[in-house]
Amino acid sequence: MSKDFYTQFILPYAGIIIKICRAYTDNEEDFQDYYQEVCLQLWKSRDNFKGESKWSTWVYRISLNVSLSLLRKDKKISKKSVALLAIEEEQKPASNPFQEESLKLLYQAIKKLSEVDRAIILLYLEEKSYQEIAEIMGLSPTNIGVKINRIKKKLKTLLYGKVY
Amino acid sequence: MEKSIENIWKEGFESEAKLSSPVISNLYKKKSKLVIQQINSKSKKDNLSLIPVALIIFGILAFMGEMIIGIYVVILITTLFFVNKEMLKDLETVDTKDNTYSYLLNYKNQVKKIMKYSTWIAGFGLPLAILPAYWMFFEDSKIMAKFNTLHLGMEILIVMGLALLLSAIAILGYRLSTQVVYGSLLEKLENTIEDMEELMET
Repeated sequence: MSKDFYTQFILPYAGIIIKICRAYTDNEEDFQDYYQEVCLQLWKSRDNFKGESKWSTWVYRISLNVSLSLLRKDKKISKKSVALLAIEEEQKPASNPFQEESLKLLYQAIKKLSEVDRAIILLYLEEKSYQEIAEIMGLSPTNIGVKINRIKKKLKTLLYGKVY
Repeated sequence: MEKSIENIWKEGFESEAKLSSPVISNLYKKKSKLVIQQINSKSKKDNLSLIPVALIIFGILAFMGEMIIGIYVVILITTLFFVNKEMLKDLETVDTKDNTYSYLLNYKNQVKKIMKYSTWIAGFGLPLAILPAYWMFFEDSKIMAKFNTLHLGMEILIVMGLALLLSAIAILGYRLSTQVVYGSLLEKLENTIEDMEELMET
């Protein structure tokens, strides 16, 4: 990966990658692996970007695809009960590094959602239009609207208890 | 008052001092751990499988009344088991204090070293050890009687030819089995290292 590519096309969008990877990982080690994989896939898929959408939309798409695929792989691995090699038996760092308490709680609530719901709400919170979310997720904008309302309700219940 | 999730998100990230990117050189920890764990565990199982093989061969030879050859083969295979065990120990002593990339590189070098030793054992040690077994097996047979009537030069030529043939079969067998058993894992290890190198160019 060239330095130019990293500084021009990844660093300015690192926030997007971090926000998404944090939502799909439970510890620092996984987060770093996910982050790295996203960067690598962005580099490898750069030629597939045709400029039909914004680069940031591309970054969202790749970040979500990579996170979802790694999450599924991780689930398969844990199902097979593969114990981790004790290279370092260190205590895993906190999974939620945010300082702001409400943000921390919101992330915890987001992590309780299904994989797809997590992706939709992350895009919504990042102020992506229904159209853009629909394009990224491969769903219809109407469907997205319905889903977002349902997810928001669910999140409020998770954050504040029962919502009527 | 309850804050909307939109506000929590917006204000939360506004007050986060900085979303700092992870350091590239020390990533892929989990991925690397899994690949290494799989190689280590497979190689241990692989080596352990030598014991039942030795017992089966011993059983067959004992059944054929070739007890001494049986014991000889058991000693050979057991020796191979302990030699392998020692070599595999080296994989676990690779320094883990370095970053993941250096660790993977050192691990890969160690694997290469083991493969080099194993090829040497298969190509040189195995024929050398198996030839006496052949001799013991055919000692009182017609083949051996015929062999003994040959000219010394011819005898040496036949033994050398046999040794070379055994050596070629052993090396081919070792390479083939390594490819079948470890091929995909070693490829994963190689790919992870390549990915990291690609990222570290930044």
